[in-house]
Amino acid sequence: MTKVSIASQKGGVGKTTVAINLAYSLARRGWNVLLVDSDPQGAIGLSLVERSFDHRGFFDALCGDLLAGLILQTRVPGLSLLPAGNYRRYEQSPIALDPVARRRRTGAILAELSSAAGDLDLVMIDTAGGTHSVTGDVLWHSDYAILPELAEPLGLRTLPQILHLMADLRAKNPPTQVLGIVPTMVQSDQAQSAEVVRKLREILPAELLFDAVVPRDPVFLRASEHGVPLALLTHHPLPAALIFDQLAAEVEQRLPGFAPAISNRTDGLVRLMD
Amino acid sequence: MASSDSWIDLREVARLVRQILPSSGQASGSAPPASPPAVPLVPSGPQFPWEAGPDADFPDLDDLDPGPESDLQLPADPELERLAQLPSEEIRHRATRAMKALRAVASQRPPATPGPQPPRPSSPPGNATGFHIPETRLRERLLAYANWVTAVTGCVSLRIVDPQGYSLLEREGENDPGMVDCALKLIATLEQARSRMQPDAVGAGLYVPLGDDEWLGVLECESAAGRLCLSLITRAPLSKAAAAELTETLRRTVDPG
Repeated sequence: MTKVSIASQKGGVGKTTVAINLAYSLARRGWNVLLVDSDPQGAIGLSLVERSFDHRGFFDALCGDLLAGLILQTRVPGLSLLPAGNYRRYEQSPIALDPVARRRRTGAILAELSSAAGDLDLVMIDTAGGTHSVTGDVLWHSDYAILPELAEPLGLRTLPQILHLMADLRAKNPPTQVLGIVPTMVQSDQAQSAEVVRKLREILPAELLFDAVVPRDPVFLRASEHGVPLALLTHHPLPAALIFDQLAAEVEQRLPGFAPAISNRTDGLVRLMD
Repeated sequence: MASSDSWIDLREVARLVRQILPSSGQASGSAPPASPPAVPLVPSGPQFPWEAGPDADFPDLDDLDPGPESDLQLPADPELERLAQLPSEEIRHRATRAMKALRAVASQRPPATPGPQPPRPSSPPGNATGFHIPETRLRERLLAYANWVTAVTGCVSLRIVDPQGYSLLEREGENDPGMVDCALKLIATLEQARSRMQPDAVGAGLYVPLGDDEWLGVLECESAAGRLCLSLITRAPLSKAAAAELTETLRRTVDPG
C-alpha cells in the first residue's frame, strides 16, 4: 500500500480537485484506491457525499474510533472514501493538545487503513493548506507527496517556499519523496499563466514536474455543483477530465510497482497483434 | 509578464531541487552530495566576549550553584492564613499598598544593578539525569521542564514554540513577547544560511543582548513533534554544553518514549 498526500502551503490551489479526480482515474485504471480527507473543511465529503457532516471519518479516527466503520464504498469499483468526519470533536479531544500522540496516531491510522479497507493499492490523502498540525503529521507518514502549484505569477514566486518545505521534510523524514509538482488552474490563453508553466518547465527537472497540467475550466464548477468527479459529469469524457487520466498514467510511471507492462517496451508501443 | 528571475532565487531553487530529488538524498541509500568544506563565518565587526573561544567566560550549568533546597520551600505563613479570613476589599487595599511600595523601590534602583536572583533548587543543575521526566501529559511534562530550566539557568522568561510560532508554553517575565517573535523572525531570516551555519550543531543557539546584563537566548531542537524553539532570558549567554543539555532534555520531555 502506497500513501500519497496532496499538499500545498497555500489554500485554493486545487488540492481537492486533484485528489478527487486523480483518485477516480486511478481507480478506473484498476487500482484499489482509498481517498482520505484530512482537511478540517471536509471538502472531499462536501464535494461527493450529501449530508457528509453526518458521517464520521478521519478526525473521529484520531479520537480513537475504529476505522472499519468509517470507510465508505463508492459506486466506482476500487474507489472508497474516508471522509473528514467531526473536526470539532477532535478539536476538543486531548489528542489535539498532544502533538506527539497525534503524530503517532496519524501514523497508526494510515498504517491500519489497508486492513480496514480491504486490499488497498494506494491511499490518496487530501490535506488542509499549510504544513503544520495534522497536515504535517500526514506528510510525515506519507510515502510520496504531490504538490499542486498555481499557474499564476504569485504561484511561481512561492515555489521556493514549497521546495523548502519538501527539502525540510525530506531531511527529517527521508521516506517521504516528492512524486511531482502539477501546475493547476492553467489558463493557456492567458500570457501570464502560460509563461508561468513555461518557466516551471525551464527551472525544474522533468522528474519533479508532471507533464499534465490542470486547466482552469468552468466544468469544475459544474462537477462540484453536482457532486461528481469530472469524468462522471457527462457521458462523453470532457477534455479536462482526460487530463487526470494523463496524470494518473504519469503517477503510475513514477510509483514503484505501479508501472504497467507497456512501460517496459523499448519501442513504447504495443500492437494489437504480433 | 515581468521577468520572474527577479522574483525568485533560481540558485536557491536549484539547491532545493538537489535536496528533494530521491537520487540526491538518503532515501536511495547513497551518501548526501559532497558539500564544500565548512568555512567558519568570520564577522567583520567588533569582537564580543562570546567569540573569545568555546565556552569562554560563560557559566556552564554545573557552575550555577542553585543554593540550598530550603530556598524553594515556602515556610508556613500565619499571615497567609489571616489573609484568607479577610474580606476581599481589605485584601485589595493591602495589595495596592504593596504595589506602591514595590514601585518606589524599583524607581530607586540603579539602572545597571542586576535584579534579584530567582530561587534555585539544590539538585545538581546541568545534570540531565537530574531532571526526571514525569509520566504525565505533555502539558505537565513541559511545565516540569520549564521549572527545571528556570531553576538551573535562573532565566526570567521562557517560551517554547513550534516552527510556526504557535506557543506550547509561555512563562513571561518582564520581557516583551515581541522580542521573542523578533528573534524567531531572525531565525527565519537565517534559514537561508542554515547549511553553512550548522544550526543542528550541538549547543548552537542565537543570543541577543537585551541590556542590563540580560540575554535573550533562542535554541532549537528536533523532536518527534517536529522542530521546537526554546527561548529564555538569562543573565549570560549559555555555554554550548548547557544549551545542548537544555535542548536534549526538551526533546526527551516532548517524547519520553
